[in-house]
Amino acid sequence: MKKIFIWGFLVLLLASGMLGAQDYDLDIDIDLTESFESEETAAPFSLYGYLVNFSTINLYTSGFRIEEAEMGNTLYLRLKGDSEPEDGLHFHFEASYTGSTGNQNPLAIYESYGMETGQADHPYTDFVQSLAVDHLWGSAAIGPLDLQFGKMPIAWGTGYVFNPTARTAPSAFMETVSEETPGTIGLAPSVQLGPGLALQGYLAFQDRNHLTSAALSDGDFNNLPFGVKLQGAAGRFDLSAGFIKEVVNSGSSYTRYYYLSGDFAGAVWNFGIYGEASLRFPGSGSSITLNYSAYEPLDMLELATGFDYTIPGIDVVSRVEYYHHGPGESSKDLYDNTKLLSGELMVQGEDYIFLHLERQLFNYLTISAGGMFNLNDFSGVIFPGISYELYSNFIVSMGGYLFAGGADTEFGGEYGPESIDLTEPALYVRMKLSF
Amino acid sequence: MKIKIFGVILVLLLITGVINVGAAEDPYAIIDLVEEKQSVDTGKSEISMIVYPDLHDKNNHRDMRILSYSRGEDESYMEFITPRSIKGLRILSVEGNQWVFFPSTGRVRKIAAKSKKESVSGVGGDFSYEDLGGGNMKEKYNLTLLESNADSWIIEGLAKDEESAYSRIVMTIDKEKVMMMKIEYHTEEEGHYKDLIIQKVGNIGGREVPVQMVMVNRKKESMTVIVIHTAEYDIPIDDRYFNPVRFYR
Repeated sequence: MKKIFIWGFLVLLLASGMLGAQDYDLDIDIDLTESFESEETAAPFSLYGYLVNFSTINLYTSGFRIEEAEMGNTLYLRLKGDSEPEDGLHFHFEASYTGSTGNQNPLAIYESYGMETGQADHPYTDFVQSLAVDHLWGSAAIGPLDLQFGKMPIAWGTGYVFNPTARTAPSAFMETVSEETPGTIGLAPSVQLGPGLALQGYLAFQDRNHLTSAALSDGDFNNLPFGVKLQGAAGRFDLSAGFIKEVVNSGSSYTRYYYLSGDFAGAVWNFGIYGEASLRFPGSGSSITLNYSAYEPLDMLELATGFDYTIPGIDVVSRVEYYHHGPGESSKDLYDNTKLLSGELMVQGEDYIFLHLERQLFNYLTISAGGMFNLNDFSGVIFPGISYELYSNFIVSMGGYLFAGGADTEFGGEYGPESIDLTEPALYVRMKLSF
Repeated sequence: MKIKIFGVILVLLLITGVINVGAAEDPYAIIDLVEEKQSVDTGKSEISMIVYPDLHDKNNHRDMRILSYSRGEDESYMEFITPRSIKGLRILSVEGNQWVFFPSTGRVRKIAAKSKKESVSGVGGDFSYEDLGGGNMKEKYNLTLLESNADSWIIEGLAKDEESAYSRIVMTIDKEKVMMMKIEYHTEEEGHYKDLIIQKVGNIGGREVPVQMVMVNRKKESMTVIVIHTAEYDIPIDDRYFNPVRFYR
């Protein structure tokens, strides 16, 4: 049944490329003499953003039979503001409101598995709605120096799905509600060394998990993540090489990792190719350990590389990305689900491949089909989708997640002693209104 | 220094004037004359892009507002102001290389060679990355004068580079105005693929320039109209707008 559905979807995707191509009447006499509303660019402060309503239904199945369905909804507001008080100065903020119910509320999910969340101890606290300031930063261009400071996205890397060199903020697997890279409090200077060459870096004042409990030890220099890289744009390729210190606070202890990092992006023939990697040094203490006696480089290497390519004739945009997660586990028994829930890890295995096809079917209507597969246990998740742009600023999307794999695989079956199963088929409807 | 004010195609359309026609029957000299007339160091313009997904349905369109900077022959920077769904999207073109900054992810993406034929990401108009990018016409194409009549020159350009988005272009240049009035774009796969046509000419920024032009996609039967609202030339523009490691900061 699943196969028929997916093949039907792919046939639709490919057949749509056969449409079009006939002669036309060149009657294009249009009156467009309206004046430009340049207040938009001259305004001292610009306020904009988007509102998302994301509804899901999880289908609890036995074989191909649906035995139970469970719904949830997230209402998400992203409010953004920009100001450029003068040339070379920039202020930016992004605040969010989230209201999540049913299977979209993580606390509700944990409690359904018998886990303690503390909700019962605080009956007057709102666990459904939350407000947060996610980005709040300023930047100044001072000669060849760009200094950015505040809570900002530190989005290193060229990968689309996996970013082994982005080590300052939690990552989320299959995030469909928000579209943003989480902000991290810190400083991010960049010095232009020449045309297309810069020394870039950051010093963060938060660990990677962005733990919300405060401790004096967070300010210990040993516990401050930082990164520095030489970023260059040389002809057809962009290249970077750098050094990263990652700090992960589990709540009871700090773990520190050091990495060599690098990335590239460019074009070969008709393919856009990219890649990024980080290689962890031995040890996880307060300084780099140069004891390589038991060091296995492949186990310490994280590598994401891929390409994008538009298939001629049918205009299907394809993307393939391979990810090697050296520190990953070879067996599901060894998975640490707390790292997944905290956002320290996106996936727990060792090798993955991501595939994605997308095509505009008709005006404003786009269909897509994607998949992520664990190459070690051959489990995977497939996510077909369709979206329609009703207005420039209003898009409705529908899709689903179909998981495949045995009980002992990453994308199939239950997790841990609580028998958590987040791999049941799910369908969603997402509405996004930009303003 | 000569410049292309809004990419290799659009820039050729922006400046006009009168030339000594007898001096130019060589296609390279004609292109030189067109470029000579548009010779400025820098440019800043505010532009509307109106996308008609069905060129037979004039009521169905999506509008975009863009702020554009350019410098020299091969450097252009564009920032999308509206629609709000793509506000802050920036595209930098430097010497044929292009980068896109997506504000939601905070990441810069380098554009692959073939992708340059595709519509600008998240925008969907009939102008591709290649159309909006910079570049020297003489460097990209081998030129041949196909026809010279009382009113215009018709020049054919065959791509020098196999990775060029278009394999062949045909330009119609008004002799009196020294202005590109129409460009046909051909590809290996689609044949006659797109047409760029000037619709209105006006005085803006102290020069007589096309203020409205349309790109027709013959395959998709769609079109995108460009309206230039304001333009300033030879003004100081900070170097950081044209630096691939800085333009997004």
